[in-house]
Amino acid sequence: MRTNGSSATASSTTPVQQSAGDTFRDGLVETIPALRAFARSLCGKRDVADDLVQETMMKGWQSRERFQPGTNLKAWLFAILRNEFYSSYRRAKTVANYAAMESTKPEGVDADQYAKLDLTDLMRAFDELAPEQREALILTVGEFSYEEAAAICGCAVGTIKSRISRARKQLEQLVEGRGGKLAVRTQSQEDAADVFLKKLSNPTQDGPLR
Amino acid sequence: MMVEKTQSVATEEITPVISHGDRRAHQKAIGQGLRKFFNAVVSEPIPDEFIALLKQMDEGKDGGTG
Repeated sequence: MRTNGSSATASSTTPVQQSAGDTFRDGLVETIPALRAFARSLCGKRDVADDLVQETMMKGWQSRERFQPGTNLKAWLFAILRNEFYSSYRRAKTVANYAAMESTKPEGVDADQYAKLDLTDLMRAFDELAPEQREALILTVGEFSYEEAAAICGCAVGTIKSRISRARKQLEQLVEGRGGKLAVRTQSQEDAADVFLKKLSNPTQDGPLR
Repeated sequence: MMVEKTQSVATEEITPVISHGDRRAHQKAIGQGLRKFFNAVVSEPIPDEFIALLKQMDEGKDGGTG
C-alpha cells in the first residue's frame, strides 16, 4: 500500500535528522576556509587543493548521517580531507601525475602572495617536507590541539609532537642552509616577550634585567 | 666526467652553528610564518565554485549522490 510505504520512509528520516542536517550544513560552510588552508598546505597548488576541498565537502555531505552531533565537526571534516588526500596521493604516486601533484613550488598567484607575506623561503622549504610533517605543523597552527591533531591523523600524540619538532628543525636547516630567510620580523613586530628572551640569552648587552 | 655528489652531503654538515637565542627566534619565526600562511588562505574569499557546489548539495539534499 502507498500510505504504508510513505510512513516507512518517513520513519527513517526523522525531523530531528533534518534539522541536524541544516546545522551540519552551516558547520560545513563555516569550515570551508580552514579546509582550504589545510588542503593548500598538503597539495601546495591552489586548484588541486580546492578540488580536494570540494571532494571533501561532497564526501562529508554524503556521509553526514554518520556524523555524531555534538562532536567536533571541523575535526571530522579535516579527517575526511586527509583521507581523500592520502588516497589520491598514494594513487598518484603510482601514476605519472605524482609529479604534477608534487610540484608544489610556489608559483603564479601563490608565489606573489608568499612574496608579499615574506614567506617565499619558508614555504619553499615547507613544501619539501613529508606530508605527515606538513599536516602535523599546519593542524596545530590551525587551531587544533596536539590531541585533536593526533585524532585527525589517527596516531599517538607523541607522534604528532615528534613530527612537529623534527619538521621545525628541518625547516630551519633548509632555509638557513640556503641562505634564505625565515619570515622576517621587523623591529616593530618584536613583542615584549622577544626582547625579554634576548635579554635572557644576552644579559650583558642591554644591562641587567630589572 | 666526475660529477660532484652534492646530494650525499649529510644534512648535519650544513646545519649552521647558531646560538640558542637565534634558534629560538628562528623557531618563533617559523611558527609565525606558518600561521600567517594559514590565516592568509583562511581570509581569502570563497571561490564561486564552492558556492555552486553548495547550491548543488542543497538541491539534491535528499536525493542520492546527484
